[in-house]
Amino acid sequence: MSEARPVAGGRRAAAETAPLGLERIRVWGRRHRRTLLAYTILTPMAIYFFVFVWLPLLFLFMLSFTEWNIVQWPPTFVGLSNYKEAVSDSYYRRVMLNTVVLGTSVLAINLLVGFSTALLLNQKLAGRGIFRTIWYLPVIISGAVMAQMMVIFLHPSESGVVNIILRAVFGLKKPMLWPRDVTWMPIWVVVFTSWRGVGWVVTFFLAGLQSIDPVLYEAARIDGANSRQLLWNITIPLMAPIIIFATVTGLIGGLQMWEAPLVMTGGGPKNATNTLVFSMYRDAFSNLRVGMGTAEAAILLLVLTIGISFQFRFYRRNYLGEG
Amino acid sequence: MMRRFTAGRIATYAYFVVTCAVLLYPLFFMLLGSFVTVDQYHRTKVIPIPNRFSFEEYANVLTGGLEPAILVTAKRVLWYLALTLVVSLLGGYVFSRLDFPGKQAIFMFFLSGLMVPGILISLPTYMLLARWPLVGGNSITGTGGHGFVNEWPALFILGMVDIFGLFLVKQNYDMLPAEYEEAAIMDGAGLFTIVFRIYAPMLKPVLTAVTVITFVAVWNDYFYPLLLVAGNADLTPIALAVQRLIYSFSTREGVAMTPFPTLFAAATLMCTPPILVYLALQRYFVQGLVGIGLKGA
Repeated sequence: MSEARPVAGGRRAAAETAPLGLERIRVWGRRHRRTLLAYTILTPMAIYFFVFVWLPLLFLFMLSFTEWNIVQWPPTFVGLSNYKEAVSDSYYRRVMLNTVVLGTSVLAINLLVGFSTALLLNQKLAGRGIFRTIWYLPVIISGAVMAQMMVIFLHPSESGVVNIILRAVFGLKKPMLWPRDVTWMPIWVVVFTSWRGVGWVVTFFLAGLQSIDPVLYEAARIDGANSRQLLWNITIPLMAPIIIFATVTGLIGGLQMWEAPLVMTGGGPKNATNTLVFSMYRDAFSNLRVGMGTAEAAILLLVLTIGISFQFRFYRRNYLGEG
Repeated sequence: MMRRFTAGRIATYAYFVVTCAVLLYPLFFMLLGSFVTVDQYHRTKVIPIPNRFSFEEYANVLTGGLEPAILVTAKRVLWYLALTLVVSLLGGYVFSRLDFPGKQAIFMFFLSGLMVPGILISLPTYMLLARWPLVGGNSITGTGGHGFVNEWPALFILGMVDIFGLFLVKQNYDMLPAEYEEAAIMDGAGLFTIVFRIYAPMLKPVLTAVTVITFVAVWNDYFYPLLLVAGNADLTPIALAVQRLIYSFSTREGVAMTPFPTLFAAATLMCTPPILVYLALQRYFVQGLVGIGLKGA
């Protein structure tokens, strides 16, 4: 087990120069030892992966055809009724609409702000490293805890942070009752989620911008192109795959938004910030309807499959280096 | 280098000064708010201004229940760091350096698993752990008890194979020359010597990136612990503990009674370790992120 030969080239050379008989068997054995080594390492990982990814995925679809209250086992089969309810019930329609509206709003803000910020950061700029670090900080701190902090920030009293600022800056007399505000709470959810996520988009775009060969810009400038033309004819076309990837990934993440609804708003007020993942959680653990919750997850997963298969191709090309 | 200060440059600086202030505002508010008294807090305009820097509130939240949460989280961090590093070093080596039948297929199997959104399979994962046979009072068919739910293995059993880290490390193996390894094999070195003695030091940047990513992910882990161990106070990880602490105080009757500085201290405590780790290892982290593979894009 302990012997491992590297690189295909070395092995092939050995096989070609080996004489008949014993030596060939040894070479054959060595090759299989490498296979055995690979399988010994990968088999436990593959089994683990099967049990904790593929099996739950299978259970997801099985559970979605049942009703289960968590306590009593086994779940009872109910056919398509969860799916029917999800499509026809006005509550679930509201939740799906929210999911799309909130998710795409966050995505649009992140892409626009992220791209412009990355462009600005891509110039020679004193303090560039510091700005980039600051933009990334909200990504690495706990979203759940910050969502809970937002509750303090949006406290409906005179001691709520946002109310303090509004009083100081705009002379607001009466404190705003944010948690009950159907218009403002979805906006705060979008603001918070963008605050959390935009730094990742900036970092990702910046890495892409830095991989563009500066010679292209110099050549175009010599030909008399202005900066607007450079942006539209060099930067954006070359960045297109990265922009598409960030859009798809951002959409997949955005439609799974849960931190703000779960911790900050509890889906309220009046379900104005209720999203599919939050509704899934609440159906399963508050309403004790695991079947309904899994049906919601299954619907979202089916919708996301288009994006996920695109993402899969992108990763396959990058990791395996094939088209 | 001399640079002209054009209107565009000034606008760019203005943009970054303003946006950075907005992005940092909540964090500074928390930090400064943890040092003021409740009375001072209620007189706050724009941002709390402390006139002393005592760590009294931090001591309060630590002794007030966060210590066990930090201990549990530290155990998880160590466990997942060790596993992730070993798994990605060995797995990355296998995919980068060895040729074997079915390699492409196994790679696709892992990659497609990486694509399954973890949060969408959370309910069936809960069921899997709750109905796990022969643990937590369950029979061989997985009924009768509560399985791993609210038991300590629930905090250590998920996410043991980090395929993302594995692929990241694999890509970095691809960039290393094989000569070192060949020389070591001549000297009779085995697999573990090659991977941990020869390659691991050369892979330090990407391993550091994996370390940062893993630390931040485990430290902030919230959703699965909420699902799996919410009913066992001894097993509450830090993110869940801090969120609950803030929640319990913020829902108390009467704003005047709410100990705002305590809440801010807890939140600051929660945010500090990831920020410190990130700042210390940032250089490698950005390198590692780039290694996600923009080269083929």
